[in-house]
This record gives sequence, C-alpha cells and structure tokens, in this order.
Amino acid sequence: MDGLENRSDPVLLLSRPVVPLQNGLQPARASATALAQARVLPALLPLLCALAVWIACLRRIDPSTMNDFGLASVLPYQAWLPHLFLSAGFFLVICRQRSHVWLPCLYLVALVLVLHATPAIEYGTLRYPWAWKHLGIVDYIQRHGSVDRATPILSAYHNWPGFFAAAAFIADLVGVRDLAGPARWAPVVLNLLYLAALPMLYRSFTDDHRAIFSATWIFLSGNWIGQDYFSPQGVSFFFYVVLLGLCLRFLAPQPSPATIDNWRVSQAAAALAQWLERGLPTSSTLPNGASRVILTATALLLILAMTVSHQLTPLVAISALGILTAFQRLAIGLFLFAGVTVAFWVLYVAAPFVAVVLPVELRDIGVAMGELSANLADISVVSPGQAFISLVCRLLTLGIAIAAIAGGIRRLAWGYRDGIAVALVAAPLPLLVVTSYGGEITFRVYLFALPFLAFFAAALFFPSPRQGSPAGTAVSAVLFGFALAVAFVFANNGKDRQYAFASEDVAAVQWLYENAPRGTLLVEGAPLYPSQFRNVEYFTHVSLADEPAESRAELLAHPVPVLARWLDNTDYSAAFIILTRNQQAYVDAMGIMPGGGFEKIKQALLASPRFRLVHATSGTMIFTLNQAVRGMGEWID
Amino acid sequence: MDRLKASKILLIGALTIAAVFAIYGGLVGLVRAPLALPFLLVIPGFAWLNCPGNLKVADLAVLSIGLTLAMEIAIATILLLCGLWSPQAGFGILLAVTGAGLVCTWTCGR
Repeated sequence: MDGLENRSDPVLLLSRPVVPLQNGLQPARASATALAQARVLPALLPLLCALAVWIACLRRIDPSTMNDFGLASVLPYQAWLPHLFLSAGFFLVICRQRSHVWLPCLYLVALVLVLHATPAIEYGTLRYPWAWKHLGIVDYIQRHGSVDRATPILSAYHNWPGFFAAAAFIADLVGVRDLAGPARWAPVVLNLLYLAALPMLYRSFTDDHRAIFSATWIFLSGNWIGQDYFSPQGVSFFFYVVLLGLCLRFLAPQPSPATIDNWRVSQAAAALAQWLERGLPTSSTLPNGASRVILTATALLLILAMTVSHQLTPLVAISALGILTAFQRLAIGLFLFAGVTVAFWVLYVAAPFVAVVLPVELRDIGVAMGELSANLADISVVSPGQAFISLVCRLLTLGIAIAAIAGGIRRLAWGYRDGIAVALVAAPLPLLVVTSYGGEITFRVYLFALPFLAFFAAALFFPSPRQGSPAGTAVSAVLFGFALAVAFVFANNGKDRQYAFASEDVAAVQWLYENAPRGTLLVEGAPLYPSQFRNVEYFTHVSLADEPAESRAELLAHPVPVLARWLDNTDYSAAFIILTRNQQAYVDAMGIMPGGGFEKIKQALLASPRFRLVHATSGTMIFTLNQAVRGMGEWID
Repeated sequence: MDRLKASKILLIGALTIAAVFAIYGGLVGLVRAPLALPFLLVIPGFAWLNCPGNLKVADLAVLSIGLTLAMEIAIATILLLCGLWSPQAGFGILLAVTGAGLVCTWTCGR
C-alpha cells in the first residue's frame, strides 16, 4: 500500500481539508448550512438569466439568411449574453460555492444546451451530411437484417457495424422507422454524456472540484471538431472516456509486494511510476471479488463495443491502456485483450475492407506526419468568411494548448508530476504516423488529447486545492471561459451554411431516393447534402467537386455535352444530376469551381433542351436527360 | 437486504416490466418510446453495477449507461453478423442479462 499512500503526499500537506465531491453539506454546523442555502438563489440567477435570454433569442434567428460565417452570422447580438452569463455564473459558483456540487453541473448542462441545442432547434433538420449517411446504414440493416462487408459503398461502415446495429436495434424496439428526427439531438445527448463521464476521469488527477468542473467546461467549449453527432466515433469517444475513468479510478492493480521484491526492474519501474504520479489522489481501487469482476467485465465490454463500432478509437484505447500498464496503474490483461480483439476484428471480420485499404495505408505510413498542414484549409483560396472561421479554429486550439502548457507548469511548481495525464495527452500521437484517415487525423488526435489538455488548461487557474480563489483568478477564468464558448460557436458552426439543410431540400432528396430504381447513377455537385440515407445500395454517386482538376475543367468548359455523356450510360438503369444550395455554398466557399462555375453549370442545364428539371425546390434541382424520362414510370411526370 | 438495495431492485423491476409491456405488448406511437427507452438506455447496466456498493451516484449513472450501450452494441452485432437479426430476440437476451444482474445484486454482499 506504500505506493498508493505516498502518491498523496502533497494532499496530505494541506493546511485545510479539501471538500470532496459528492459529500454535499459536509460541515455540520446549522449556521453554515443556512448561509450556503441562502447563497443558492443568487448563484442561480446568472443561469436563469442566460436561459431566459437564450430562449428569447431563439425566436429571432433565421437560418435561411446565413452567410459564410455560419450560425454566428444569424445570431442577434443579445444571443452572446447567455455565454457571458453562464461563464460568469459558473466560475463564480465554483470559486465561492464549494458545498453545492450540483450548481456547476446545472451550468454545464445549460452550456451544452446553449451550444448544441440552438442548431438542433433552429435548423429543424439533421445537421451535417455524414450524419445522413449513417442513417443510410441503419436503414440498410433495418431492411436487410445484415450488412454487406464486401460492398464498395460506405464499406467501412459495413465492416464496423456495431453502432449502426445498436441504433437499428433500439429504433426497431421503440418503433421508430425514421431516425432523422431523434438523431438531430445526438450532439446534445452526447455532450451530456461527456459532461457526466469527464468528472469521473478528472477525479483520478485531482480532488479539487474547481479544476474538475473547469476542465469539463474547457472540454465542452474546446470540442469544436464536430465528431459529436449521430456517429460511431461520437459514442465510441464516450466509451473511451468511461474506460479510462474506470481503469484509473477503480481497476488499479492490487499492490503485491512479494512480486515486486522479486523483480529489480519492476521495483525501479514502480519507483519511477510512483514519482511521476506524485500528487495524484488515492484511487478507489477495489478489492478482489465480485465488484472488481463486474467492473473488469464492464471494461472488457467497452473495449469490445469500441472495436466493433469504429476503426480509430480502439487504436487510441490500446495506446492509452499501454500507457496505464507501463505506469503500473493497470494490470496487463486489459491491454492484451484490447490488442487481441482489435487484431482479430481487423484481420478477420473486417478483412474485405482491410484487404483494399491496408496496402494504401502501408504505403502512406509516415506521409500523414509530413502533411499535417495539408489537412488544414488553404486560407488563400477560401472565401473571407471561411478564412475567418479557419483562423478562429486555429486560435481556439492554440489557446487551449498554450493554457494547457502554462497550467502544466503551474501544477509542476505546486509539486504535482501528472505523468499519467501528460502521457495520455500523447496517447493518440502514434496515429499521426500510422494513418492520414482521409486527411482528418490531425483533428482526431486533437479530440483524443482534449480531455487531458482541458485538465491542464483548468490547472492554469486552479493548480491545486491549496490555492485559494482570489478575485483575479475568478475574473480571468470567466473571461477565458466566455472566449472559449464564443469561439466554439464560430469554430463548430462556422460551416453551417454547408451543413444545415432546409426541410424542403431534404424532402426533395427523399423523393428521389424512395422512387429511383436500383442501379441509378446520381451525379452531385458536391457530397455536401443529405445523401445516402435511404436505399443506399441502389445508387452510385459521382461528385463533381471531387473530380480530378482536368475533368472539372472540361466540365466547366462544356457542361451540357459532358454531363449528357455521363448520364447517357447503359450501365445504369437511370441517371440524375442533383444540385443543391448547400453544395453551391461549399463549392463557392472553398474555391473549388472559381468564377461561379457551379452557377454556370446550373444555368446551362436549365437552358439546355437535352436536360429536364424533374424536381425542384427553392434550394434543390434534380435533372435527368430528356430522352430518359419516357419509361421511368409515373413518379416522374 | 437494506432498504436502498430493495428500492433499486424495485426500480429495475418496474422499468423492466414497463419496457416488456411496451415492446412485447405491441404498443405504438408516443407511449412506446418513453416506456421502453429508460430500460434500453440504463437498466441492464444498472442491474449489474448495483453490486459494487462503493460507487458514487454520478459514477454509477455513467457506468450504467456505458455498460448498457456496450451490451446492446455487442448483442446487436453478434445477431447481425451471425445472420440471426431479430430485435425482439435481442431484447429477450437483454432481459436475461438484466435478470442475471438482479440475481447478482440480490446475492451480492449477503
């Protein structure tokens, strides 16, 4: 037990005791209790003001007038007040109201609502094109009761079907056929889950509830990369946080002095691990028995669920479990189980996908590392609005990183070593060498590092329970929290002109998906629209925006003959072109077809006698060849 | 058995019966989801995690949701890949797992 006790050295030196979480009204004095209760109402006032202003502002937002600055461009200026009220109330509460743990939790719930429920309410449809593709896989499972692991269409999803199978399973049981409505609320639900899970993880690093809740605020405001939608990665990330919390809090190995004494190397490693963990609170290690068996089984199931749902998360989990094992904070069993499970899945179950992708990934090993900047938007090409959004994303990330470094230094100065937390920041870094993940790997690495960066960033203000909460600290924290929350709206919702879909545009695509025959070719301006959510296997999609530069140049020079040639293909039973306002917003903002190329194509098709507009809304046009209309059936008039 | 443990078992039982009634009873519309979802999101995990008695309420809630979702992913994936897809059968398995968890809770610490 020496190791466990020694880790708490700095805490033992406290001049006054830290009020632990969950203990509620620990001081027994009635006067103190009454005083604390009297302070609750003023502490709730900023929260109530924030919610009142937020609700009032919701009625004044018109998403149809959004420009390249995204959601922020349609928010009235009063809509920023809730961010200020929440930040002020939250940080004042955690500095002054230590006895009411539920108060900061309420503020964090309100923050999630303000940040994530606003788009869900205002847009009225499922945001983000990839979320629609995920619905397509759920739809496939509901119709077929199986997956097609050899299909080239969205094949990764068919080979890692866990999340989709569970979604189809739950949807069938609750009698919901169309998940587009409930899935709209996924960001709210997922962030509430993160909010619930993160404190469990942070309690492994500190007893200071100010640092725990501040880190949660920083995580929620810093998680701008938008993986918290209806997606396998969103749920798998929740599993990842819960798994680490479980391992760090409850599954530390039982100390076995006899074993350690026999191994000089182990002894040295244990001494190093002990030094690196200096200052950590004592973990709630469970004794051997039923409790430990159940929590170990929970960890195994979490690893299994991640493995069958997502490609990337289990790899990071293996890395993190390896780190915990190296620090002797976890027996090697879970690490080995994760490695074997992932290897089995990748090499056997997902073999049809891996056989195609693995040679490319092996060829590109190390390439992703050298092309980190290639994953970022080229500010010189994109529209001014998108250039600003890119800048905010970078500043937000940089701000958290700098705060984390400064916070880490402050913790060090207070006598904490935080070796595990530092190592867990680095856990996803090997991915940079292994895969480019379609150019997204930089963002995913940031996501997996963020919980620990947020912990260190919070330590900038609250490095130790021994440090008080002077007014200067509280004010700095309020300003920092407010800046993060505002930057989040720009960074997370800055592309919503491309990602938010009008209900009439969704209905137009649904009309096509539900009527077009199997074997249909669908030429799209760009993949930025609600696509592949019904009958996904019926369609072959070709995106103009993703064509090689020469092909795009030919298309822009002669749109009608080129597109007529593409559509006049007997390999397909039908062929359509779909052009939407979201596609146009994307193509124009990213400079993919300079000189209004998208609009020129649209006008050329409208003017050409060779094409017929078969379905149109104010934002979506669906064309086919005039000669092809005959014989298509009554659904095309 | 203490009163807290008994009330937990009663809660699990009530929500399980509500879900069985909603799903096997063929309820449709707005009533079905509110009756079935509490069970589908929390209860199977909660039934098992009652045993480690020293979990804090917040940890118990998070772990219950995590374990329940992980169980459902595992069950649904196995049914899917084995060609035995049947949400009703999967629900039956979840009920059995919940029952086993209840037995574990009942006997734990006696």
